[in-house]
Amino acid sequence: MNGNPEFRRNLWIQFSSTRVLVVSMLTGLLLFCAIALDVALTAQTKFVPEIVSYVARWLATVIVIFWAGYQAAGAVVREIRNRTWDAQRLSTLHPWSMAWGKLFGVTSLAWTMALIGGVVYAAAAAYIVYAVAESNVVPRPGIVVTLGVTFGYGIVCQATGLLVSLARLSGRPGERAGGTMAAHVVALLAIAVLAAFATWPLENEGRWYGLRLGEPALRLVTIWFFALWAIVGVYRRMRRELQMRSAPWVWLLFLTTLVFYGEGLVYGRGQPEAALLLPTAILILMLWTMTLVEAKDPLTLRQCLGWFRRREWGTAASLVPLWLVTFLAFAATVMVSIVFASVNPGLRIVRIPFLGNADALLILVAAFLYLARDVLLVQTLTLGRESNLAGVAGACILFFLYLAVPAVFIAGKQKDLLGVVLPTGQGGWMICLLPIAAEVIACIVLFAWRWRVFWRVNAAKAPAA
Amino acid sequence: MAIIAAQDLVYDYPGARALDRVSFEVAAGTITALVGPNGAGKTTLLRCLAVLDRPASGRIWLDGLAVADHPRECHRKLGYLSDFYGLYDELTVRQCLIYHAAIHEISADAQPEAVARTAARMDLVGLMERRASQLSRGQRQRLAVAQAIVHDPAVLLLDEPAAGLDPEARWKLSTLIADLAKGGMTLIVSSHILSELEDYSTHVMIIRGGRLVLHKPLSEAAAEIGADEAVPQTCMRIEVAAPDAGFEKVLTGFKAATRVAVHGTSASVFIPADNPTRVALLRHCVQAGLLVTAFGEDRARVEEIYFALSQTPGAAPAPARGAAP
Repeated sequence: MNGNPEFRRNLWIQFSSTRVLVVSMLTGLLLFCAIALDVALTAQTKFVPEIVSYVARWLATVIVIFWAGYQAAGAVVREIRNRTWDAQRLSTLHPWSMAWGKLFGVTSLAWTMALIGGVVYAAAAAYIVYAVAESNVVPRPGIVVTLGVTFGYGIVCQATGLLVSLARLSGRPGERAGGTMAAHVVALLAIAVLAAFATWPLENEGRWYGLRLGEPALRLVTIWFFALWAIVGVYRRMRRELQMRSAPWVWLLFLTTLVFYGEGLVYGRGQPEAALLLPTAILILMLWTMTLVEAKDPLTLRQCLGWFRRREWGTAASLVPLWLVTFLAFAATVMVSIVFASVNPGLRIVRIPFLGNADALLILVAAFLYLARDVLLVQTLTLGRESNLAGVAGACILFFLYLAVPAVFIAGKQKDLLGVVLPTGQGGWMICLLPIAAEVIACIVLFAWRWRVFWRVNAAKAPAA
Repeated sequence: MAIIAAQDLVYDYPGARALDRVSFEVAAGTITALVGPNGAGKTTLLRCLAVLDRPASGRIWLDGLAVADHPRECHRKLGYLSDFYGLYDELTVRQCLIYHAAIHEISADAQPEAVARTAARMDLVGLMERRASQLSRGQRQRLAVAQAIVHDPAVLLLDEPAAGLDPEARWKLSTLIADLAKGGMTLIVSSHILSELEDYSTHVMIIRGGRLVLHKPLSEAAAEIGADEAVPQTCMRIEVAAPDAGFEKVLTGFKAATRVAVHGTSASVFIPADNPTRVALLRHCVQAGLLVTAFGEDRARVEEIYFALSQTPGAAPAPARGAAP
């Protein structure tokens, strides 16, 4: 029985006597200080179970999100920096073994401490509930759900961090490892978005497609739904790193289930226009994420096109970048939504907070044009000298276009003209579509020019054929 | 029978073509010296053979398997040591070897035997419980090679394996490489230390500007030097008693010599392969006052073949032995 060698290797490293000793002492010291401080301030000991419960819970949360999250985000980055990644890629380990061995291996010590924190929290909370009946600190919505949510967020954060660092690999030799911190920040943003998503059921009494699951259960299911998908994402990306062909079907399945899940939350709430626009909104979020996060390599894109031309579909599909797949899925979603809006006139009018009524058709067409512009802009940046900074530069440009410029319009009391810079669907097609259509054409011209220059320069540098 | 076959390999970097339609076959049980200047594409070629990078076009077969279609199966048959390798500094030598045995699907029962055998082969037995961070440079190199061969691969790719090693460690590495080939392993060794490659190489592969310049058995490769000459050439080796500043000048002054390479007290001179010219060369040396201690025909060294075939027209004469190209 071989077990999982990658997991075992991580256990050897993580559970060195020094690490275990230091971590245990720090954790114990923190708990002791919290209790001592509480007793010193209140001059009583009756609140000790509550403070223990509180501290243990937050300790577990901090450990799984910040410590273990950072460890997971840096799992592959450290291998690349230490030049051990190639040896791992040369192994015959199955990508699934490599994925979970790495994800839960590098976080094994952190998870052990978090689980101890969880047990302490559960014991203290149970004591409060069952032994200190007069206490007004009765945990809600329940010990198991609280721990489930905490650990679920932890897994989402860790798997997303590892996934982001894998997605940032270009697969080029001599690759410089991306920043662990950057991958961790993206993971933290992901759980912030998920937290917003997961609290949605609060307003809905935990209904999903009309089924009343209850808010805690739906929140728990939501978090673990994303946690499992994040783990699947790590596995799929690991397949690619280990040179196994991976067509983007699973990514498309993820986008589909994401839309399906989101639609379930707005179902039956009497907001058909929200149901109409939600799939587009979800795909915009995913498209921005992939465009900014995924490694940008014009050579791989050209290789992919080359394999398509040679009709080697399998190889071509395994090289196709996910931002392109997401863009195609986004375009298809917009088209389907336009058809729905066209055949259901009742869906045409959308109420936008602070702005009033807008035309759903205009919103959809404008959203497509805005995203086409964004993708073209970022891809054009990848053809520059500092292609590795294209993601950061793209994020700055998008921040400027979507937040700074509209802020100027609002400050200048030109709300009616916001349609020029945002897909508000207001002001008719002249305001809403014409300017962005011109921008898209300009971006296409710019991209085509940069693409030609890029390959002309490369052809000049390459040895004569 | 070819254990490695490559066909029309093309690999592009932004701004450069690293491999340009490279095709070759490597026979089982051979040791191929892969040589070429910096940036020639040696490392890229080895990485493509190791299925770490995917060429833009072209195919590679390893023991009959298309590597693009069967990467994991190929990794079972492959060992690879990159030029800049890393070790897990926190792990002991034993743990490093067990890990590498396990990730190459050696069963838990067979791991102790594989680890012990490899440790003995690489002279690591006394270091098994020492952490990798506590090893010297030479010991780290031995551990890195041990990790690459612990699963007894059919093909071993070594990229600059002797870099940074002291003379004794280099000699041990050369002996090991020869031993591995005797055991049936096929090796491709890239190195800048050309003089060492000839100790164990059976074949030489020269790559320049992403293109394959030569791939032949070492014994045949010498014939490529001066192949463009009207008369067949041979390589004569001359030894003198002590280093002599005029040694090279005397040899280059011999009109029939087509190429001259001097390495301290020895030199290789390419001349037309006939007896009168051989005699004339010896007479020329003696008359010039050189204290000749040995004179005879020799197979061309990797270094000489490399400089003769890979240097660009008009380039300087071959540098002294051991100098990096």
